[in-house]
Amino acid sequence: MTYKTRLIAGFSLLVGAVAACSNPSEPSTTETVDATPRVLTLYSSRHYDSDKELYAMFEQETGVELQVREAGASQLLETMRAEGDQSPADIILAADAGSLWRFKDAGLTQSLSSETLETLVPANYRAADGHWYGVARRMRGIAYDPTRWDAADLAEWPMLAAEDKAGEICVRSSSNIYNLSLMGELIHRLGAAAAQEWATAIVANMARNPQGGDTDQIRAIAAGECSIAIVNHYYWVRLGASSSEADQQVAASTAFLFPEFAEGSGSHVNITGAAVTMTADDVALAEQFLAFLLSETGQSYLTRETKELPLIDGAPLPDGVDALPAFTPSDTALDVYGENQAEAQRLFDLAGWN
Amino acid sequence: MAAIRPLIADQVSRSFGTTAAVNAASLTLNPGEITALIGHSGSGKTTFLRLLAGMERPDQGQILSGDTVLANANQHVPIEKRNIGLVFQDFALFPHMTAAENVMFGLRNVPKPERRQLAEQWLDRLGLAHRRDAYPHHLSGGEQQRTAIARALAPKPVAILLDEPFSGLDPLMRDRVREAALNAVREAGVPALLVTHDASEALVHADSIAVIDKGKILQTGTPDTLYNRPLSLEVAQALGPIHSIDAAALPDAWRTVIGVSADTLRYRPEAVQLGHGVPVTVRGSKLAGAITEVALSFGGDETVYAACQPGAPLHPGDQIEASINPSLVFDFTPKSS
Amino acid sequence: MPRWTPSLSAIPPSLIIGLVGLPVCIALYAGVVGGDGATWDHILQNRLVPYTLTTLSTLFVAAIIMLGLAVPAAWIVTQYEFPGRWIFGWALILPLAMPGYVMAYAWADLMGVAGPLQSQLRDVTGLTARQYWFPNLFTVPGLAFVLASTLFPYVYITARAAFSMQTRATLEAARSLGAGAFDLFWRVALPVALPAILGGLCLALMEAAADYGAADFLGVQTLGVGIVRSWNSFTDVNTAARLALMLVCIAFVFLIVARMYQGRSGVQQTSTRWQTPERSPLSPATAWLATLLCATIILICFVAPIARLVWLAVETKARTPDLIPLLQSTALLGLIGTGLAFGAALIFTLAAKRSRILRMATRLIAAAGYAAPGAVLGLGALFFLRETGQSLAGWVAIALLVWVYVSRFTSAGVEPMQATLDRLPKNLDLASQSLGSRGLRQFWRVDLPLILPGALAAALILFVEILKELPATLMLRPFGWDTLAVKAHAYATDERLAQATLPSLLIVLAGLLPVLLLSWRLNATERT
Repeated sequence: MTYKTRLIAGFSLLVGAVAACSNPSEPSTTETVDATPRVLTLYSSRHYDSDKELYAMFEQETGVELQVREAGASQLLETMRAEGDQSPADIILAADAGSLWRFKDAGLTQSLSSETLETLVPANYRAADGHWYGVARRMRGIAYDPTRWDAADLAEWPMLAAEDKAGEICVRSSSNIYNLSLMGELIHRLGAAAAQEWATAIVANMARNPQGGDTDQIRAIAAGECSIAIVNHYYWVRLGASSSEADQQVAASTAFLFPEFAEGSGSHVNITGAAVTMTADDVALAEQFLAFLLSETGQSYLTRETKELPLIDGAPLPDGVDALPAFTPSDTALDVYGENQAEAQRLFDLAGWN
Repeated sequence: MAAIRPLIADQVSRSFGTTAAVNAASLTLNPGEITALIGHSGSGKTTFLRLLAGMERPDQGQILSGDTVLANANQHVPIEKRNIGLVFQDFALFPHMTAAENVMFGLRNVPKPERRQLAEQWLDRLGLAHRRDAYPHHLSGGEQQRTAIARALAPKPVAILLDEPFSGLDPLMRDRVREAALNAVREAGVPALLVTHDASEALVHADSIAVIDKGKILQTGTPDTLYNRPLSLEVAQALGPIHSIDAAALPDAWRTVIGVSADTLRYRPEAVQLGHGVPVTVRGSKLAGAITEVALSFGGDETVYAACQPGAPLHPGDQIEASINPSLVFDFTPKSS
Repeated sequence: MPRWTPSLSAIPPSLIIGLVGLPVCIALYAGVVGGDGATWDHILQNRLVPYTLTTLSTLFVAAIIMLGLAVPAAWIVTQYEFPGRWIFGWALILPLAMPGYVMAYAWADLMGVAGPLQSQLRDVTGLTARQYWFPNLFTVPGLAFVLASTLFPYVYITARAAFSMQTRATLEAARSLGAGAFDLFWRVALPVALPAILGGLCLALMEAAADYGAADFLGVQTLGVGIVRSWNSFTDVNTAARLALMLVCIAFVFLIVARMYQGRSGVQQTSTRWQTPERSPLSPATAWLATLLCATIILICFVAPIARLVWLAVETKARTPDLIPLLQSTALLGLIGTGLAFGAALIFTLAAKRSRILRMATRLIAAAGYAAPGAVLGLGALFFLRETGQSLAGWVAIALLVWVYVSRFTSAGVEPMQATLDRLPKNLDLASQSLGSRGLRQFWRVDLPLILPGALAAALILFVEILKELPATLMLRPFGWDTLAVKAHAYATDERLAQATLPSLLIVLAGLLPVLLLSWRLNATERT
């Protein structure tokens, strides 16, 4: 019934829009549906069923209604730009530090200084200026064939560029945001010229053209097409935790590690993070939501299905991540990923990394 | 070149479901002759043509070219192997080819350089020299049909079958197209079948006529025979207007001339001639093309119809005289044996 | 409802044409005026030629595959009698219900190095993955195959209609002139049907050119991928729009080439008395060969990928998402979008008959929308939103989304209707006059029934298209209006193919009903 009324109203609106074209002075007929007093609007580039459960819990706990728009980060950004002051968005949830930086760069976020959040989130997992806070970690590392390589052969990213890796590397296309962020840190550490050289060497060492998703790269190791796959950790963990026996075998026949950039540099870290928008009317509520994501429940639900790593020390680990090796996080400020993103794509293009 | 052979249908039958479309039909098409097949729609004339062409297979009987079997219960030479020319009511030209290309289509056995020449000769013969490179949709109906005839004749077919070829044409151009087309067909010297529902077309242009009704060929013969000596009412009706009259109502003078042997007589309107004879009263008259149809009365209820050359205007009530030509009065009463 | 008595004569068709063309025009305008900058320089120097060449070669290969699948299938289905012919007649349209990206996921899984085919091969031969050659789906031909296998029904539908519209007499005349089955097809039936087939092919190629999902997944660097990459990696929407302009130009070239071909010989049926040729029986061996051919096409383009997806879902015991709201919003958006796009297509079709300029304008506008990726049209809608100062929620969002649907898919509706109207030249004039003078009632009661077969085909194609539409829906849908395509995409981007299966299958199922209706309708028109 509600759909029917919506439908009818939708048609009249369209008619209204036609009329508005010829008579621009006519006021808009859009009615603001203002049913509940407290609505929190989330623009999220994540789309997990477990997130929905988490949102439901927040709604139950607080009585606030959560409104969620899920789309690609770039599309959300463009939408917010188009909406301008009228944007209903209060919080942006993005699955990559580079994306968060882009929202900030576009002037769509606001700085939030919150003692609670600052205590909870280690300094390198949030923006120094308070424009975004990390809520979970996603690590880009490598899955490899342990019968072919020792961990020491792959301990640092530059080692992948060595000639002995010729025809051994599987990786997805360069436009993937995690490849861009990794490249962003490489540019930051090595400089553009060396980073491009590295990418060119990787292209030369590829077993096949970049294709498919991360899971496909890991499967390709098990199938014997290559022996090294650059992937995010959770795809490997999910294979191990899968209910399909074939998947479990794939995970069992491969190993995972978090290469460093140079000895002692720490490993490349990426995050899922949240930012409060410029248009948020209830900053306190937004802060409350962020704190909720960083609570034990929040951390558990955020990572349970995704197999991301929790951001808060002591938060319960999702099943399966204990198979991962220990690592030291890199201390590069994550804003670098966003700042270097376009350059990263340009260098990939020049290196011939499809 | 091998002698041109007749195309023969021998006791051919074809049914669709329980309906017999063609029922034990026999017909011989002689070389150099145009045989008209007339019948109203649904009479089986198109199916008969399709059987001859090879588009349908006969259930019974056989189709022969001279003594070569084209089709019988066991064998069937497919249409593409028969080399029989076909001309359709809606022309069926290939829309993506020019007139010349259409004519060249069937000339695959002719060496390439000669093909074009031959096609052009045929088009010239049918008065289409200036339309060689036109596409069908730029041709008038008459031009399309002449192209179709050229296309059918160019490969030197063993016979040519024309399925109501002129009925789709504008009456004004029909005569001209027909003249050119049938002349070309006759010159080709092959057996030709002209399927038509237009009796006057058959009478004027065919060398012989066959009448088909309910799948049966009722009578075959020259136009003269069929028009003047039909063996059945159906044949008589197929070839022209025919009226019936109660024999008892005729004046005695006419009855004597005719030699009445039945209760109901049929006559062609031109059997009744105005002039000397028995006195009659004009009931009405109307001009129907080249002739005038006159309704006459002997004084009773019966009306007789006459067809005559238009002359002095006749008015209802005019008293005139009329005679009867007994050869155009028919008695179709089944003979009791 | 508003007291607005609809009278089409009151709205000049050109206004509607403009409205439909607005999103794509805004986006392309942004590309032309705002596309300059570092990103464009980089793309121009390093990527534009490869993107364009890859796109063109993908389209070229896809065109060959589509013609190779659709034309012979349409020919034997209309021309011959063989076991299963009736089923194949409609089943060959089914792949249309498969979204290209779903087809890509399924075939990538089937053909991948870790997939069942290659695993079997290794088990049987004892070779390792590097020791043998296997067709690689992640290539231009692979992408072309995936796109062709979902889009060939467009060609099939038009080819089939064209073959069944040939007068029986034309084919019989050809046979009487000695043409065997082979000549009949190559020298007569195919050339006569070619203009219509080219129309269908144009449509399919425009759709293929606008693809992003399949190309991205297969790692083939088409213009569609370049557009999204400019946007995502370089955050440069104007460059994205400028690349879309390239796609639109390619589409225009297709249209012009098809138009030139169609105009060259001016192929038209000269007869008004068209009659579907009777189907000839085949010898048992040939008949089974025909069955095998059709069955193989359906197996490859429909059954195999679907079966793989189902198997994946069962194997991994994928959880079922809450389907009811997905189905509701999918159906509602589909119906509203179809209704409006259908209306637009109708107006386009009728307006096209009024003058050459309008005809040109409608064709170009419709083609531009169809060739531009949904994301670019969505961008156009966002530019528009910016000017209005509204937020993307509620009815604004629905209106924008539906507007984009109309802008994007009108072309897919215009083509089938145009094909029907071309067959009824006199009635078409009646119809277009009725727009001007006699009013709607006359139109609905008299003229519309005449073009019903084409109109129905148009409506159903539009519905299936909108059902599958992803990028614009993802961008513009209002809160809580997830569609099946959005859901399938969410799982697939997270590399949960098994979970993506159920919503994907539902898209196929939802598309199936209209496709069945369409084939039933096709069968019905063929019998007249």
